[in-house]
Amino acid sequence: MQIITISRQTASGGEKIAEKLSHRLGLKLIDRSYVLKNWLPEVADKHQLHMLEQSTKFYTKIANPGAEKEKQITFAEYIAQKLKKEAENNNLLILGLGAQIIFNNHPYALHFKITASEEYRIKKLEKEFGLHKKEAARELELADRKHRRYLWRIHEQDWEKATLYHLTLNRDGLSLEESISVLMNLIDLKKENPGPLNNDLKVKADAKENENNNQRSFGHESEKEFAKILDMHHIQWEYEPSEFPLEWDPDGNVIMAFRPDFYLTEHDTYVELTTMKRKYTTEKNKKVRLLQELYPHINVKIVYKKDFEQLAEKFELNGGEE
Amino acid sequence: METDNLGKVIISEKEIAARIDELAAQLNQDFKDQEVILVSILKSSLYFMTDLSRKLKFPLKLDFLELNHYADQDNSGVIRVTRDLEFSIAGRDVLIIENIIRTGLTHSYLLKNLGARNPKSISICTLLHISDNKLLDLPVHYTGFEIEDNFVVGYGLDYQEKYRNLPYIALYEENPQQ
Repeated sequence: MQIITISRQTASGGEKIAEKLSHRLGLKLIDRSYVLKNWLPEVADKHQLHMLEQSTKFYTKIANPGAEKEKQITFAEYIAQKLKKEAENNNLLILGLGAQIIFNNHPYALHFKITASEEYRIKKLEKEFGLHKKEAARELELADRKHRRYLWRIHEQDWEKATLYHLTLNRDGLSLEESISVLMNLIDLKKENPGPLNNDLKVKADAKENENNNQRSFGHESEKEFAKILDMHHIQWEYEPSEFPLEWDPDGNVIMAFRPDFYLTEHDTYVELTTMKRKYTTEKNKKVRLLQELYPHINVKIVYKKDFEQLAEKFELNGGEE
Repeated sequence: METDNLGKVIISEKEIAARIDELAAQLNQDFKDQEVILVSILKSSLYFMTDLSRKLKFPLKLDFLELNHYADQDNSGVIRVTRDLEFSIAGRDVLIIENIIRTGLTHSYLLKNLGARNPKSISICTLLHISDNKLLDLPVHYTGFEIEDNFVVGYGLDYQEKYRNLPYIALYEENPQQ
């Protein structure tokens, strides 16, 4: 499942970005107020909820003191557990909550930080809340300290550490729309090519992935090449996932079946490569015709030798045009 | 210009101009009073974009997108945007101007990439369309000419960067003597 985390400096406009981004990408937005309203009342009483609203320190308190010692967890751990569970079934956009740490090594997580200069943020507070410049500066100082402390207390991480984030965005000179556009682009790119932040883990994951690809046994070299062309275009595929029975003997035993080479999941299309000798091509054509007769709802395409050669040549010789 | 490998002209300059007039008339009707961002896919659709856009009467912005296939060491690679749009297309009507749709592979990537930016609508207008044996069936809203599955050049289409500036579309023959 896709996870986007956004950390933000107060008055950098991070909330607005999170809200817009969650709407545009259809992600469930989870922020502190959501957690206070929907999750924490399950474990906290009224006084505790009030304290959780006010103090970062309170998140290190035990949420279930009645439980056995080894099963006791803090409010912060409770939130982390809930977030992880939620992320199993939903695409999430999480604002704050230390989510950049909780999902630090998650392969499908992208971490953004939104910052802005003090001047930008002061102006924003002056404009939105009618604060005087000095009051605004003081508010920012307190809010920044609160953010820093939360991450340090709960996760022992420095909030300012740049490598906690895939991207840090400075709002000075970037409009809301521009900021969203940048983030959406990166989200779009990473969808096909996810990678966790932890470099050590990533190397291992990459090595494993390469191993898997190398070990994958294709029936024919052309199939391997075709898989590369699909990968090149970010088209998701499965290799020979289904077999379709085509002929049965009088006892109902399948005597002829057909297993197309590829299934393009997003396009609900099967693809059969016929790059072999003519004899085999005729046989395959017959099978495809039968398949279309018996299973008219199945979309199957044949890539002939000539088409395949054109494709292969195009990607060796040519640029990005069709 | 080198014309050794040029085969038969399959669509003349005159035919292109006439068809563009028809396409423009249809687009003018469909997009009447809407503001549209025209996205030209570089480089092949350059001439089609300039000729078509000058016949359009609705308010529009011109933008350009260039894609390229990057090869990795092991000869695999990915398609990437090498020149991105100038404008944000979020909430906007977008008309993609393509010169040719052959397999649907690039087309599929384009729709995925631009779709992620949440435009109000995306329509595709292609001058040439090869429907025979197309790998992916994706919606193409406006088509200039349906052609057979041959290698063609001219009017923006190239063979190794040559022949783009031909005013017509011709077959490219690899071994013309044979």
